[in-house]
Amino acid sequence: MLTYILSRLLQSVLVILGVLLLVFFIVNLTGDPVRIMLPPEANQEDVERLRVQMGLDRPLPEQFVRFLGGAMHGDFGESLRYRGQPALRQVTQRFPATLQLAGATLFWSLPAALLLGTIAAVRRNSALDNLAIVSALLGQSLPSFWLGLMLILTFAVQLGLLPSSGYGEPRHVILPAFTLGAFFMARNTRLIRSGMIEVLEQDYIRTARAKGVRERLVVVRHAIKNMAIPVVTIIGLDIGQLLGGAVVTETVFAWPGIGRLAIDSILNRDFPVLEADVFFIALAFVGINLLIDVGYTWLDPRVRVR
Amino acid sequence: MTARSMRFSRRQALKAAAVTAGAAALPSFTGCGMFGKSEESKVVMGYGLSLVQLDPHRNENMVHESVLRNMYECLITFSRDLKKFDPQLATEWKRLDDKTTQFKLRPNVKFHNGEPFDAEAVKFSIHRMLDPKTGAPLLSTYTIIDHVDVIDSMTVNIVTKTPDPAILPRLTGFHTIIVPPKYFSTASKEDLATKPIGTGPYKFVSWAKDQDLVMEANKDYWGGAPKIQKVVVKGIPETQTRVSALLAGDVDIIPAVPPDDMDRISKSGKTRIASIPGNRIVFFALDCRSKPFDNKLVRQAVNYGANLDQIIKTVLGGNGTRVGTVLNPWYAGYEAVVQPMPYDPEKAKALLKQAGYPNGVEFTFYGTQGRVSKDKEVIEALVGELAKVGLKGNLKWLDWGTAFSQASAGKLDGIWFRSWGNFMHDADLSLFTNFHSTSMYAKVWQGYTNPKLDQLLEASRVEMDPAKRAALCTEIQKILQDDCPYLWGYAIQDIYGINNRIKWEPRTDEKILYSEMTLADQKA
Repeated sequence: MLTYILSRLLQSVLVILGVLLLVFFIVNLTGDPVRIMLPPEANQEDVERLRVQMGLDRPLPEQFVRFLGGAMHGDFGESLRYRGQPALRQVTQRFPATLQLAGATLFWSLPAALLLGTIAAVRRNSALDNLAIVSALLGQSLPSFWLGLMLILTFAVQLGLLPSSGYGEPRHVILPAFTLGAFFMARNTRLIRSGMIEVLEQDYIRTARAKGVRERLVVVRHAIKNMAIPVVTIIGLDIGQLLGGAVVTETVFAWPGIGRLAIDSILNRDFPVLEADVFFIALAFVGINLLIDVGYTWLDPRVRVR
Repeated sequence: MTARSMRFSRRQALKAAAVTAGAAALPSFTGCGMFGKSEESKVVMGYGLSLVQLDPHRNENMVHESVLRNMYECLITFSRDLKKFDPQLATEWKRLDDKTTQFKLRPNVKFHNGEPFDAEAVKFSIHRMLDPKTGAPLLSTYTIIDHVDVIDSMTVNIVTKTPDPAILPRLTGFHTIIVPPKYFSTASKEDLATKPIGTGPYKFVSWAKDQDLVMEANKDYWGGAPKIQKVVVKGIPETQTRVSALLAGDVDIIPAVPPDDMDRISKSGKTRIASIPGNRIVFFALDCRSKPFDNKLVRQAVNYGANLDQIIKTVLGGNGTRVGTVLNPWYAGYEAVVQPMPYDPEKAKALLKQAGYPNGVEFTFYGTQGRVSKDKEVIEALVGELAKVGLKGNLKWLDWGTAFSQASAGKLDGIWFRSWGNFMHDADLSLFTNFHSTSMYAKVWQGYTNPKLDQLLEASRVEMDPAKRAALCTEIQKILQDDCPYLWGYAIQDIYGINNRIKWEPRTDEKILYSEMTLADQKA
């Protein structure tokens, strides 16, 4: 058990180191941040001055050693765009917004998927099943960009019920969480439905039915639990993905999360913030998956024996 | 562990997971109930960019300037019609000689933190901006200023290195903003970047990145307390969301409305459009080193064959104004002598033939997107129009960073998109910076030189008599229209969407001064 956890931990550290290496070299090969920061009226003298100021005139290996040394204790240097401000702080300042959106998204989409998926599996080929499948198909295929704008037009512009964008008050989260959750709900509904169908055909379900257990109990007590393992894996990946921010949804709703920060720092070649952002996202993703892996050992004793 | 207790803990684990997910979402649904708007005088601004940092001397772009101008002030400022200078932190000024201008300062002014405004503050601020360590993005525009002399606590002399006919417009420039010396020499870099303290009509209240910035009226403002008590600044990156936010009443004013959305806004019944010729001029640079644009005749042919009037009418819905070269009519040094070049396809074809390209000629047209409204569509239409007279541009899209670094290395050939904003509203900043043979744009980007032009540019730069200076600028423009180093373009139109509950008219200089706003039902 302990060796299992330790080996998973070691793997996680290696993954994060690999991510750091990759992100440093990729971002440093993609272009000049100075030009983008300066207005078009700036001249070559202005450009050189800024480049020296930011240490971008040094050789790349020297920059990398400094980068790795700093990254070890969470120091990614100062943001190039938010000058004078630590890069990692830019990420941590925006993380609560990402967490709130992720939480609200899971809060409605997960129960909805569980309910829809289960009902669809139990009442297979019924009208309800078809409805679930169609809504899942829609949720997965509607671009969140379009869905978000339509929701804004309907609920903010036409009905005036909810704010069009922004962050702060609780009601601000409703439209973005719905937009973002539509995809997760749709995908998980399909997964849960097919998982349930598979489980419901197992021998032990037939045994339970043969014993005379009521159908409701068969589903709730026997089937759902056995379907949980693959679903928990998917949920782990979902959480990891949600914690990495949702670029499109955040942009459409002007939501101050870390997904938008990542895109902004790519467009502005803000290397330190991008590096800190990717590091943070990798950490969250790896951390959640580590938790899920350890969680298996509780859910499924067979994993421990492996 | 028994099977039963194992089952229990598995169930617990699942329960715990569900509770955690719920708890994370819960705060978002409690404490609701802020429905309905209160009647306080508040204006909400919806800009297209989020604010990045608020140290005025390191100001990044127009959005920052637009916001910070309400909290900070310069010594002097342009009047609304841009025809004269209004006193701001200086009350009067006079030239002592060609290099020295004396300013009497406004007495009894305090910064928002209580620091007194005086001559030392002026000296500190201008010297801080001039210090390369501060990192002012457009420092080269100000390096003609040598130093500030404190004469007494309410008088300063500003001394330039060479005679500067444009010292007054220069001192309206955003980087010459006056900051409180004590705060700016003791506060941390992060505080300076996030908590502005100035003398302006609005005081900083709060700001979180990618979220709202809040300002309140400065009741002790020397010009009287402004009418709007509270201003909230939002950055909404997605244009359609921004328009929706205006229509839904979530924001009151949005700049940079796309022409396609003007109808929706003006027909909503609750909002209106205000549009005014803008300060930014769009043009297309030609590589004067390589074929075919090394030939002046081909460069002239491009100008006669572009049909920009038609493009402005159809693509921009009329939201653009043709210009003769790179000057707007209200710039100091402009005379209404040099007019936009006419559309003349026959002349364009004849010029091409004369240049030795009777069957037309091919070249690369480098486009960039997202710098000004509908730039992509304009470029595509332009390529089509030019092809009709035999100028066949092969369109190649570059992102701005790449285009700029390639141009700076002298690697762009053919024709490419550029634009220029002139905050000094003075011809020199547009002409000298773009066309003198020592300037980066003429020398490195285009390889364009003209010794006669250099002489005139140098003469106008130090000519102190406005009439003589304007005559020089006109002569410069005539040479430029003959040489055609650019395909001369158009001045963009600034289009604002405004909620009808706000009374406000936009300005030509792109400033959005919240102190010029009132509520429609409020006494001005």
